[in-house]
Amino acid sequence: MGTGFDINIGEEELGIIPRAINHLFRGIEERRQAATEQGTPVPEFKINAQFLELYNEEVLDLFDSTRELEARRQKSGIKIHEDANGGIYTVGVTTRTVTSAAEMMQCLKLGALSRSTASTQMNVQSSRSHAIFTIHLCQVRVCSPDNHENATDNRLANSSEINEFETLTAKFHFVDLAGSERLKRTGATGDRAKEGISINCGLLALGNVISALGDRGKRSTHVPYRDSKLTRLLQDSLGGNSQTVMIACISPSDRDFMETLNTLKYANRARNIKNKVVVNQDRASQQISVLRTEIARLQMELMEYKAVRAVLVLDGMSDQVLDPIPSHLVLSVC
Amino acid sequence: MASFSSNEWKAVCAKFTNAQQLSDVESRTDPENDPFRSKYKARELLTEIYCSLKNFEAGDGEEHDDGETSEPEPTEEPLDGEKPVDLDAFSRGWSSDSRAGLRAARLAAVEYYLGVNHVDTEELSAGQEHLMNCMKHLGKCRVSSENVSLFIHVRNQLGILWAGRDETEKSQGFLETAESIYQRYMKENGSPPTDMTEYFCSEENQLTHQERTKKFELAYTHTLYYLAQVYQYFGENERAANYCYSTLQRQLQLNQFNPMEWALNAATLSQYYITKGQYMEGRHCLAAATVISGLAGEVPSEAAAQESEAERDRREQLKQKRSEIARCWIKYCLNLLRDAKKLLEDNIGELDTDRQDELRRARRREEEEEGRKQALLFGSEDTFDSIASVEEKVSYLFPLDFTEARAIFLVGQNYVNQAKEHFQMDGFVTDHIEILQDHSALFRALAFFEEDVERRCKMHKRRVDMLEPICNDLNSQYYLLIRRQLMFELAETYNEMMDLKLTLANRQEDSQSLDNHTIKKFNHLCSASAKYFQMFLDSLCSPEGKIPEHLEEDVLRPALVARFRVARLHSKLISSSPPVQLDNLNKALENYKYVVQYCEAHPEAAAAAETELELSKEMVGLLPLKINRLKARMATNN
Repeated sequence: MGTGFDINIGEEELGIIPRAINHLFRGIEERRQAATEQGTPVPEFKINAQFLELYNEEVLDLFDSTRELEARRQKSGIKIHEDANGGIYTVGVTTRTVTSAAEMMQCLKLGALSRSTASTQMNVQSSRSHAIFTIHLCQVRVCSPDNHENATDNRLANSSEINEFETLTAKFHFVDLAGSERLKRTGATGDRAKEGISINCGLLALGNVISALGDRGKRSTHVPYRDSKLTRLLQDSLGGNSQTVMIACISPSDRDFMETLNTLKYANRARNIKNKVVVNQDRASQQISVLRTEIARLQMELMEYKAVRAVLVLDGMSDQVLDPIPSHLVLSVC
Repeated sequence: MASFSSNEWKAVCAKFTNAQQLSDVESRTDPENDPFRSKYKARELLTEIYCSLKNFEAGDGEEHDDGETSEPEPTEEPLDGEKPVDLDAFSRGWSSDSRAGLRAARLAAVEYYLGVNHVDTEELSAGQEHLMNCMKHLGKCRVSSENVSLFIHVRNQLGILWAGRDETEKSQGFLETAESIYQRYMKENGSPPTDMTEYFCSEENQLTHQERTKKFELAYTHTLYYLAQVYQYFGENERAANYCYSTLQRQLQLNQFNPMEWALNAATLSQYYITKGQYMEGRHCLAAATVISGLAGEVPSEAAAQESEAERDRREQLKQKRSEIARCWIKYCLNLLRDAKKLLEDNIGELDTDRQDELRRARRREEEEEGRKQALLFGSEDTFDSIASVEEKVSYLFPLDFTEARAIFLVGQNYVNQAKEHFQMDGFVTDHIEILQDHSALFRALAFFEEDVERRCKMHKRRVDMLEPICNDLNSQYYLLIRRQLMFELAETYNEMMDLKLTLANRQEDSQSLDNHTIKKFNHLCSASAKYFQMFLDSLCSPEGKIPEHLEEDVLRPALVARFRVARLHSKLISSSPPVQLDNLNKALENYKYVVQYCEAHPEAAAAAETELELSKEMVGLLPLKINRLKARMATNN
């Protein structure tokens, strides 16, 4: 997962997540500092983290250290919920509040450890396990016209209140996709030929083959998703109004060739997810035809108008105010 | 000549069993830092077995000196790739009864396992070598029930290997040969073939006929499944779909399937057929999906779900998956209606009675010729009838009139209600709304077939009633995309209703004497439509309300169309007050101008809304005159 945990590792060798976390907390500190120096109210930051593992249709809470592995798998009571007000959110998932980068890294470590213990005992059949580390960031600050930064933050502006406070929220998902970790399955380290022909999965991937047959672009059909939980969790990040940056981590080493290739292929697919605003737009429509008729009529009116004027001019009455086109033509529903 | 004593043979068999155990079971618990430990051990054992086999029963190259009928060693197959359909293998080569044949088969088997072993440990070249050696040994044999299993398996493995190297043509070669071999074997022989694991096992541990058949058929099912992937890779989707169908059908016949998994796959396959307009096949897949999903059992009750987490999960799973199938059915009905509409509509989107007659005639002709034969046939003895009875509930033919369309609509609506039971708004907003959108689309499609204008209006009203409350309830931050879709659809629906009212009014004798009530109704619809188009346009603006300089590709056409419509709607509002008329005309002009100006500033945008641009240009030319006339009138009247 590019985690690079070891504290003895130098900055240059850190993985993407530690870097992101450090950057985040540095940014928080900078904003606090700046406010203090300027004498403005210091913004409040709240940072939460969640760590989930998904495989097949099971969701595991990797922060849940209280229960035995088997018991945990037996059940989670975790729900992925979506309602009209709150978008997508999880219920029953341990959320850890974090106040420092070190704390965050510690959380990550514990969760990752929990994951690798689970995986070795995993059923060979369930070969697709994803891990999602989510950071929720919430900033409450004084609302001022000078606050132009971070146009990418989702805003819930309290426009009705004259007074000051606004809440900015952001969500970061770090996703470790199935098969990208060198887990052991029947002895092999990592699935071979995931995009080619999969052996060890038996016929589990048949659904993937079938769903790839259809015309993806049209959305005139429904595809029952296999990875529905993953898609649901990431729903508001894929498509829609959130700014999504996908960072695909690959390796220059030839030993990681397959993982690199698969990651790139996945990233390419994700990039092409475009959500159409409007699905059906008929070009041939009665409306257009009716409108053309309208225009034709207007043009005729115009010709008539010009003709009358021309006649009057010829008759030397150009200085008279011309009677405008009779009223009935103006009021007609054309 | 040296041959195995029974003790020596037992030792070989034991070694083989050990190797299997290491490879399949113990390897799972190998440590992270030595992940192939068991596999390497297995390899050693297999190599020893190979040597034993080679040394014994060989007599130093005296293969022909043990009283065999003199069959010369068959010529070798090329080292790389596969000769197309080398069915000589059925007529030439050592029979497996012969000592040479048996020995070759055994050597081939060991080479096979060595090959797989090396592939598992990521030593692909070595794996390939062993697998090709296997082929070489087999190449000397005639296909028989003792070795055909190996013939198939080795080609499956080579297919996978070459696909993994992105040499899919080679892969295809091996897999297609495996296919031919299977087919011919089943035709000419068909008896349950020996499984490879049986080469090295004692009499008592031999498999039953049933077990043998199962393993063999499973191997061939994989061949078909791999071929499906190959054909898909080459973009031969139709063939790929056929192979997916075959794979699914075999799963049913061999009773090797998980009901819900199978049902979902069949339902997904139906969607492929739908996109191709093959509704008979699509319907069959869906009917099969429905029937087979029933085999997964009853949904656990609420009560049971409260008591046990496992039961709760099972309940969720079953409900969800069955609802997914319902959604596939909805798409079936919707697409059938829409495709029929496309066939029947004239150039202004109304039902063309001439085309209708034409299609009716064509259908009668087909019926007389006994129609098309059903290409797909899922099921086993138990399920054929149930599948057929589900199929009977809905037609696969394009509806040609209102009655037929309504029948399909009702089926679709029924599935809408089914799907909504699980995908409730609270919990599944996105899915719920997609289902509602489909429901709305069903109404829209049905309205096309409805001749009575009032009734048509009522159908559109149903759409509005369904979608309007939702649109307003959704959080605008999280559901921006969906809200935009709903706004646009509501705008178009109100517009549609407005046009219908107009049609009704125009049918009356005197188009000037529209009564107040009608005018009010008309204006209401007109404004409502404009309001939603405007809402849509506003949603494109920045939080401060600034209009975007540049429209993104996915909103470009909708935005231009919305502008165009807003313009038109404003010019259609009826009012007896000249200042109001003026205001409306000005607004109309403003929006028509926007379209023209935007396309001038962004030439590439013109293609997205050709007709709208053309008409906007005309209106920009004509409206000012109308406005001026109105102003002049207002001036004289004051």
